Amino acid sequence: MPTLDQFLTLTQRLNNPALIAPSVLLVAAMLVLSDWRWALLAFAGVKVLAGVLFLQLMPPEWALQQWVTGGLVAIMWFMAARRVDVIRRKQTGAPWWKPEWRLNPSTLLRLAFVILFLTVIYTVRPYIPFPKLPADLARYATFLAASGLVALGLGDRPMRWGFGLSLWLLAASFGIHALQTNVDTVGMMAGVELLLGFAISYFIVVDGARFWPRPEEA
Amino acid sequence: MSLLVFLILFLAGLGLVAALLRRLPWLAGAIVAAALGWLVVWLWRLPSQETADILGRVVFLEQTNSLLGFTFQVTPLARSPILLMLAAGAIFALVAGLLWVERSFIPAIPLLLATLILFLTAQPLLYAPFWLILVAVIMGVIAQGNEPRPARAALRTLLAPILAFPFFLFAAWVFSQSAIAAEDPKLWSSAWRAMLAGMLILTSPVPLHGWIVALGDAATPFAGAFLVSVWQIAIYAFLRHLLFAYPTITEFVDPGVWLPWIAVVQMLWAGAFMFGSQRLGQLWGYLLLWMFGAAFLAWGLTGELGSEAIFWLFMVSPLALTLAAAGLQSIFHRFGENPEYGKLHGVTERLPLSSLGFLAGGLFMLGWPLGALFPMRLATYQVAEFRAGNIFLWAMLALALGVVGLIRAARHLAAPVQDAGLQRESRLAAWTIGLLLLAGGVIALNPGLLNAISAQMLVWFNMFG
Repeated sequence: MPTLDQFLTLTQRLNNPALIAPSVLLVAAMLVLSDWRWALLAFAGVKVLAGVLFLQLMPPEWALQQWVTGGLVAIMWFMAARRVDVIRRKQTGAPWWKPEWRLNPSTLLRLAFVILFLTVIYTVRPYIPFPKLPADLARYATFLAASGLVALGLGDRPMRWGFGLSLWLLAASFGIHALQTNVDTVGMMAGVELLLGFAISYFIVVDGARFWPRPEEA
Repeated sequence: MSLLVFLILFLAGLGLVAALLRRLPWLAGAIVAAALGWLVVWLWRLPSQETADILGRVVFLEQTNSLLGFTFQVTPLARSPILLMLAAGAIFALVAGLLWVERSFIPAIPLLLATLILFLTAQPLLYAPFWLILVAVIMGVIAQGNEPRPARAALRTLLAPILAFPFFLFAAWVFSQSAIAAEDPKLWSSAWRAMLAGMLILTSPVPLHGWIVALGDAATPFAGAFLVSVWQIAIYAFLRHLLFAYPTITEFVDPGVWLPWIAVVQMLWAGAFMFGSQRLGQLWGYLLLWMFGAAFLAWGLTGELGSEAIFWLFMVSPLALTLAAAGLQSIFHRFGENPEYGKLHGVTERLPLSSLGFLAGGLFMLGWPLGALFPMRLATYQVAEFRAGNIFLWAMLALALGVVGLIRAARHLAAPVQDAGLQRESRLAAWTIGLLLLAGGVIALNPGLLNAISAQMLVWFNMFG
């Protein structure tokens, strides 16, 4: 078991612009996948990689707060979505292990839209010159902001909106933390993320409850 | 104890009491309305000295509090919007309590007001939108209510503050660097543009207006009306404070130009979709958007000189909003939430006062005579005609579309009865709507009744601490 110092040294060694590519793929997976478990896993992956990329901007113990807030938010959303799912499966008699990959027109449309979006991003390479932010991270932050807005346009389900707003905040975090990394700003951004996490987890439950065949039994 | 701590504790306690009494909504509504009404009167009469006595405790009126790097103080500037929101909360709690709305609505009113007070009293000003995110979360919970329903309204409520927040943070950092204007003029002007972008997002311009429409579609009528009403007061106070604190922004773009255009586009959009509405909730959502735009139009056209009139408008609009919401709530009780026009049969016959309340409330929101908002709307149209002919014409078109939209709804409400078992409206609902109609009529005939109050509010609002 590595000590905390060893762990932080290890994460600094991982810090590499090459992490941006898998992060882009994970963001695309978040936007497309209809099964909330896979989408949530992709979200957790994006937060882990973003935490490592933040090492370029701030000390490791602050950069890794992305892991802490991202982890807490992912846990909240997991528990909320699982509650909705478990009760629905119990009431409909569906086994818990059966995956719910729906290759319906909505998923296909999302897939087509995200492919188009990635193609545009790849060819146009949009870039907002955030002050003091290295060029590769600025391009990544621009991609995250655009992905967040795209996610908001892909439907009115709570978790997808949570992903969209969370990506927007992540992009903003890169821009803001390149300028200032004091405890107030880091805490404020983490606070906003957690507030969003609380709100979305509540909405996941109340929105999902309408799909229960017998909501009164829950 | 500071005034802010007293207000927050009082409102939190009130919310708790109302939550305990949530199964008796009339009692919870009466208690919340009475307590908020008392708070309004108490705040209004607060002496100008440094302290006040309340329940045997000394309250220090100018004391500041610090939390998470923020400094909070109830300045005279913050007092006016706080009074307006508390008064709106009292009216909504009273009418909602009489009409048996969702039981989560009344306890949430004091909690939302408490968070709005935090937002309005927070300094530094450019970091204050952090508290607006907390406000939006509670607004989302109120919009969602305690019934399983689509979360569309609640989700969209989160959009504006979260999108706007980073822009204000960026501007705050740049403005805190004293030498940056000379060293990097490009970054300096970017910060002003970022602040402007944040301000624009908070005004919910088309196409970011969706949360208002969704509130009409997917929330209860009272929740939608209350949330739009207090949000607009808070945003007005915040933006005006920003414009005074950072006057340089007018060098980049003149709010006297962009605000009326944002407003008139909102009104036109709302009018067009009111005209084409197929559901009652949809019509209600666009009616709220129309009213939202009309208030910003009044502000944008009249500038700072119009502030007294804006306070008058914010004081009176809860009457028109609760009137329409009460009528709509009563119709929803019989026909379900957001019913299609085609399913409305016998509404005017069995629910005559509810239909009248909704239609008259809607027309009064547009500025129809005999409604409480008539004097202010008339003044707005006159100023528009005098100062900006283009905007006047577009506003008239929006008004005409809105009126036709309501006439279409009236035609469907007047469809003959199909279900002989359709119950008549409750006597309490009928009396409530009748009294609201009367109150609106009294104010329309005597608009000067509230002049002294709005003038005093303006005096406070112009005192920058």
